[in-house]
Amino acid sequence: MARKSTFLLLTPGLFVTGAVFLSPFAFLALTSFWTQRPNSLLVDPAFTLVNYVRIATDMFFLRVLFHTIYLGVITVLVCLVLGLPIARWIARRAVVSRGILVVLIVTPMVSGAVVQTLGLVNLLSLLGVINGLLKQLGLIDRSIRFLGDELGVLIGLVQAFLPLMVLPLLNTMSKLPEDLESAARSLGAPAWRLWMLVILPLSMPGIIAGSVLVFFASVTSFVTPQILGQGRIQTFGTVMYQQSALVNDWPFASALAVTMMVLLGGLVLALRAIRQRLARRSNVAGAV
Amino acid sequence: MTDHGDNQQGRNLTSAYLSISGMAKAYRGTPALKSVDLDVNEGEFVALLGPSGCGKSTLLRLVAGLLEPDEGTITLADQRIGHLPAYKRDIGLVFQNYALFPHMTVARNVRFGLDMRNMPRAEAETRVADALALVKLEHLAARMPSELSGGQQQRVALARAIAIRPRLLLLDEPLSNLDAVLRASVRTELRELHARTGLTIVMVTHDQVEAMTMADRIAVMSDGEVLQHDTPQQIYEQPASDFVAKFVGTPPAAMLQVDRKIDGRFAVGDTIWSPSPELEAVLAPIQRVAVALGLRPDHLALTSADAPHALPATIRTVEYLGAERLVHVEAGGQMLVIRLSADEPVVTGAVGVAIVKSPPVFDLTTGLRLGRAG
Repeated sequence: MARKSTFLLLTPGLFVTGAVFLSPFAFLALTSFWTQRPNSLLVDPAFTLVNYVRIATDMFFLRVLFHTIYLGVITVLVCLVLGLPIARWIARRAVVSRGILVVLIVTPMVSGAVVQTLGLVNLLSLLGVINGLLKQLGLIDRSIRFLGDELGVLIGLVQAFLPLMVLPLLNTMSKLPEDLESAARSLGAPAWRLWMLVILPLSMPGIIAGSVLVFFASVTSFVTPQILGQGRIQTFGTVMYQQSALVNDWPFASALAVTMMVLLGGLVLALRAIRQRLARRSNVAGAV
Repeated sequence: MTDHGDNQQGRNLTSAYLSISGMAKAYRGTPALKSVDLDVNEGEFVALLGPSGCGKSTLLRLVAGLLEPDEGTITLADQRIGHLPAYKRDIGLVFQNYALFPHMTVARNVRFGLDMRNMPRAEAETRVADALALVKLEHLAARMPSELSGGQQQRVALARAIAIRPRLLLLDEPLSNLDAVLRASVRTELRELHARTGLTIVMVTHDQVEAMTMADRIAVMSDGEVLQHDTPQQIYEQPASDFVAKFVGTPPAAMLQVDRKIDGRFAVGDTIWSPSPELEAVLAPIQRVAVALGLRPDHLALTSADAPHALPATIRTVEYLGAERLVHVEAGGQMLVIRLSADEPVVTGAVGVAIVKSPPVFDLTTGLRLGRAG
């Protein structure tokens, strides 16, 4: 009986998921095995692997793939370097101020990618706030080109996805007993050894979760590289957009999307295996 | 605070191993410690005893370097350590919740402090083995902390602190997370460990039995101050204030308010009472209208109501404890506790309470001891 009513309660959710997520996705996967008829809006629904062969052999798409992954990795690293001290600082605040700080961290995410990114355009453009400030301070003579450059896209990605790193880190770190750090210090650990031997290893669950989230968000992002890259920075997101909306090759765009999803899915499975092995070896997951 | 003067003199004559002076610390304007002075001799086991919030843990953390004092100096083995960060102090610390590193084996935990000192591996391994042997846990070296019982974890924490050969060992409520049976045995083990290693130990505890049974000297703290720093016997027999008398001892001392009438007689509540000549000799020089007597069960005896100098009383309850009984009586509206051996008969109804030993006398408002010789 309980099982039946549970299923009943799940029905609306399952229906929505099936209607707006699973079936379009199945259709997307199916489309990726079709081809676009030349100079036509119609597709040719004959099964073929030609789209995947093209992705695997065309150096342009491979380069874009690697560049996207590269940007993702750099974004993760920068977010880690910035996020770890932020998360730890917040984790050591009193509960009340911690709540306020978490809200501040989350606020930019709520405001939406477009608003944030357009705000960054104002900051980063050739005559923008940052270049103006640097010139005023006499640090540079000529404007730094952020927009249409990898640097600008990276700044945008980090700005957009830093909260995805800080929140899981904060979650793990606020559960670490402060006495562990005191113990390490009393045993003679200076700050850097405290971080290397105690804080980082025990924050691993948060580091992994945050890294996965930031990596996924940045390799699949579209708005940030599109606006800040100004068409000069190609990522999987922008290329998919070009193929579907500009070239109008939906099957090929679908194949790109499926490729990305398979890669990310494989990454998730690999990470899960690693985490399980880690947990078995050291009981970290159980103890923290 | 009464032995404040003695302390200051002592410090000038012989410099103590650990010397804390003028230590003050406030959290957001609320003082946790108000100018504390404390001397600990080399090899001594000192307990900081007090209720929660009295500042004893704050004092311990200040000594460890985990907190920065607002004022005051700390000297350890003739070296000023107040400015040193915690990791340079060579002070071992055992936490209430043990604070073992959950991602390291027992051996790695114990070796942690030695690794921080970049000790050669072979030497470190020997030290780890020695430290684990000292707490009788050699066989668990390869385990993870989560696989150990609370008592075992605590001994690992102890071994970890001892392995660095600390100049001072600090214990923060070391027994409070253990069950009652274990607590008694760990108490003896800690005493033995102290005897074997000769370490100077400062232990924080809120449990007066722990402090009385383990420490060479006890510093009783309340409200950010050290009220008395003395041997357990002195603390018990010569409490410096009513707080100390009430905090130490099982059952604690009862405070009996005694008023002096205009005609020179004494009254307890509404009852006129003539104390024994010995007690009167103690009370006579004290120029107060009202004082409090700190009465422990061993100051008192149960007599008949009409016995000379007896305080008329009524029995309220009798607690049976096996070898003895605790008789709770009411005299002049105030409660007293008398100890009787199991075979002594208990009279019921109206009885008398005789004060058989001169009790300490306290000021009613300040709580300080009065009429002490000298």
